[in-house]
Amino acid sequence: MKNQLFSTFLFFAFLAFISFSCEKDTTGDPANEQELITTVSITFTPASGAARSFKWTDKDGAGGLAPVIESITLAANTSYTISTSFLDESKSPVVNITAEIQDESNDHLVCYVPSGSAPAVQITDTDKKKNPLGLAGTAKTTAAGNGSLKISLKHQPDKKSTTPCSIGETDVEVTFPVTIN
Amino acid sequence: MNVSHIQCIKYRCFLGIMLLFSNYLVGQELHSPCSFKVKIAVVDPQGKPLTFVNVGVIGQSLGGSTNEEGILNFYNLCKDTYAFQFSRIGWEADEVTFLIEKDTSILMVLKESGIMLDKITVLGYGDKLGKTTIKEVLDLETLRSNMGFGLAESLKQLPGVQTLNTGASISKPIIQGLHSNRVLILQNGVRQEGQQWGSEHAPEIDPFLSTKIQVIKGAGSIRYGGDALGGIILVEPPALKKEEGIDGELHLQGMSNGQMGIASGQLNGNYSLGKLPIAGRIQGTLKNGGNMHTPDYYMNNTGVREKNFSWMLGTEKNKLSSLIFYSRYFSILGILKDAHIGNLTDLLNAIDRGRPLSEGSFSREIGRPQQQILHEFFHWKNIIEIPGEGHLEINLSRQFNRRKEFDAHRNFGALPASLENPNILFEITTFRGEIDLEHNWNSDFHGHLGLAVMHQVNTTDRGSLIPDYTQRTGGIYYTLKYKKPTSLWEFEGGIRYDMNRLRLDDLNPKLQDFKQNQFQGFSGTLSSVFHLSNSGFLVFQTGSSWRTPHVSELFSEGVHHGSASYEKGNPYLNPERALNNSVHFELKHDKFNIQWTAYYNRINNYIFLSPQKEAVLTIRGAFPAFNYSQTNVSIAGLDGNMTYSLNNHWDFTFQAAMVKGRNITGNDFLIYMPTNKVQVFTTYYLNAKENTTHSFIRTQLTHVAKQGRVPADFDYALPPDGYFRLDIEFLTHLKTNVLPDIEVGLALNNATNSRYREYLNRFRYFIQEPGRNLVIRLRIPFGHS
Repeated sequence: MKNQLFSTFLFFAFLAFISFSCEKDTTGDPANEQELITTVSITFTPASGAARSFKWTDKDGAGGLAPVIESITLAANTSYTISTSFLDESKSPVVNITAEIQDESNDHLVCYVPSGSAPAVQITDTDKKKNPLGLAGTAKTTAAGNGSLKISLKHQPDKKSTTPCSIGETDVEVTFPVTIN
Repeated sequence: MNVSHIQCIKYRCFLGIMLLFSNYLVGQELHSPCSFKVKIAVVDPQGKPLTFVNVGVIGQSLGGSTNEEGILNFYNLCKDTYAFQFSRIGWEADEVTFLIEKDTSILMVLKESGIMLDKITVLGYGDKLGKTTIKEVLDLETLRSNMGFGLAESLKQLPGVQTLNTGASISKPIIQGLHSNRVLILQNGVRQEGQQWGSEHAPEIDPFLSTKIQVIKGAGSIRYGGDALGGIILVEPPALKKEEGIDGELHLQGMSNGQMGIASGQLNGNYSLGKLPIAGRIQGTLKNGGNMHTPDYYMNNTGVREKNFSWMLGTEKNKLSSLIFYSRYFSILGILKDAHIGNLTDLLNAIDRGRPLSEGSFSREIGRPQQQILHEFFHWKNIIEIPGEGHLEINLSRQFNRRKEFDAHRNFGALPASLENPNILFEITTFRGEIDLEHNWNSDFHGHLGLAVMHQVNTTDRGSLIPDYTQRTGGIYYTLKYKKPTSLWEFEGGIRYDMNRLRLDDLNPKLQDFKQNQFQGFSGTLSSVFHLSNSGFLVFQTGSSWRTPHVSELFSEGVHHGSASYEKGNPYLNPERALNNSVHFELKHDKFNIQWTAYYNRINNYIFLSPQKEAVLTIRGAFPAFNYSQTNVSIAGLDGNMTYSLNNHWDFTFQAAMVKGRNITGNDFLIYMPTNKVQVFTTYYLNAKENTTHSFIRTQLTHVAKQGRVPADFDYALPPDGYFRLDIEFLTHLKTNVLPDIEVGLALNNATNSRYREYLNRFRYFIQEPGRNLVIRLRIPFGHS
């Protein structure tokens, strides 16, 4: 009888072994590197004169160090052409993500919302379906003053909608202070 | 002779009239003090005598079993109160208490147990929770009709249990206003260890493997841990088969909403290996559902898959019994696409829309975002009977939980089409060992001494929400219970010491100062029962428990996309300390069955997310910041249930629950506290309800009020309006020649297809609750002897 008890326990132990060998902690995958946007750079080029670039940078991502925000300074009553680019400056060398946005242009839209004296931006470039994209544009400043310019990058917006910027997932949303001299 | 026969049926005891008996009108003085005769007759609900029913008297060495006429006589009883216990394999055990002061005849009606017959006693021996523990048991019929909706939704049928939902697919139980780490869930007596801290992490248990689910409210049982501030949920699989042979049952369910199909089956067997009986069970569940719909639109990507499997094997020999239980739970849960938020602007836009962008359509495909959860549970339970003392129970278990979350959020670029690389991957392995020794000081004092140790390793292989850690805990407890059949009072008290060592295995330089953490503390409970009469009792309970801050509360940091908030842990958090006070009242009188619980819980150092003045500025915009902070809170509430049985065809039940949570320090309300809720059930039994194969039609009207008790500045939208919801259920049994009776259930949930939102659903910003749902279910038992 004792033997039988013993053999039963062996049987149980065997079953236990089977179970234990089922699922285990898989050891550390390297953290999956994901592409990050750390920097928005906007370049204003007047008809005559030098182009000026302004950056909004947060190299360490969300949290940690506060972002570094440059102030956009423009001349009054001047027409500018604008180009906006998105960079990952946490990597070395710096990764320019703008090209990928161009590649997936149908799925992206850059939106500009001015306030105060900041100029409105007219989008001049289009995606593959001839809908607005927003990496390039024009703006015309008026009187001197202060304001701000909010730039956002939308993923899968509804470009046919009357409010294309309120639909879709926001990849980037930054606000630059603007001074018109 | 003037002997009245009184019927007593479990749950519907007309105990008030049970003491109708009298004899010898000449008077009692003719009797010597110990000369009363008690004749007990036991019958089934059809009135047929039941033989071999064991009848015992609690606390006395009296006992026997009924003869062929279902009769057992006790002679020479003294004038005293006797608690008679009735048990028979395959029948629901019952207990009645009588004051014997004359010759008495008792007619006892036992109900056939719906559960798998209690076979091997070890498996039938569970934790016998006495009246000193304030608990609610989900009755088997209700459990069966709600199993298909998952564990938390099944529990919602109990007064005082609500759920915290994330969309239509994720649901967590809330007990006394608390959830997640403050509620313990035990599977077969062992604490479930997964990633229960997250509000969108549903319990990883297949309700189909259980026939008994109980909820212990408040700090009622320190045996399972001193950290159950809200309560404990016990999920118990049925006992194994004791007689040789094979039986089983098959559940088939179909639901119109989401076109969900569920098949669950189990097979029980018993076989003698020489003289050693071996009993076993295999059980499995498959679930497949597609997009659910609200009255107005489909909710895209809300499908669900489940593949669960479990087996159990047990034996007993002489004084030792041993049981192995293994379960594997695997689910894939789709999460509403429209709840996919890039930043605060997107969230506010989505709230402004208040509904998905498109009408949606039906699909079974589950895309991103989704969760894939695996939970493996292995448990070896041994019970050694110690004559005269009780039992020594030894539990060893191993659990493994793998949680994969696939986001629809991305930093940039297209999401990979495949589901190979989750954005978040947690793996947690837990080993537990527990010993519980029962012993009796004398016939009135019963004690339990126990020891519990745990070793747990958590790795975050993807994502960086919480650091890797190793946790070791140890606990020791002693409980003592006083119960004497003649006394109107019962007492139970317990004390427990726990310690917890938390070591971070993370290389993050920011965490190096907090590598070693240690917490320790005592918890205790004191409970007393006062028997008002044979039909009612009062329980007074007070207890203090404490909880170690979880790693997520200490060290998490980052954007929480579901709520578009930036959450930051606080490594300096202290343990939470709760003082729970409850009064519970139960009365079974005549046609009334009443249960009420009132509680006042005070929690010091309550950990919560406190909104910060300064938002965190990221390249995705500003996110409102929340820091894990501590405050002193009070949670008070009242919940109860009242049933009135008009006759054996009509039952009326009224259920209500109310909770009020206050942040005492901040002089504000607590967020996500359950709303006032009232339910009215009306049941009409087509045949007599005592009939085990009864049929009924039940309507359930639920009213949930608008939550008015909300904190300022916490939420993005006001609480939704209150709502009414109507559910209708029909249950019957089909007679067959070959098989035992087949149970057929038909239910129409949200019958009026009403449009409403639930405050406790975190996706209430984006969607309504599901619309009308027609549920058809069959339970086909087979092979029962």
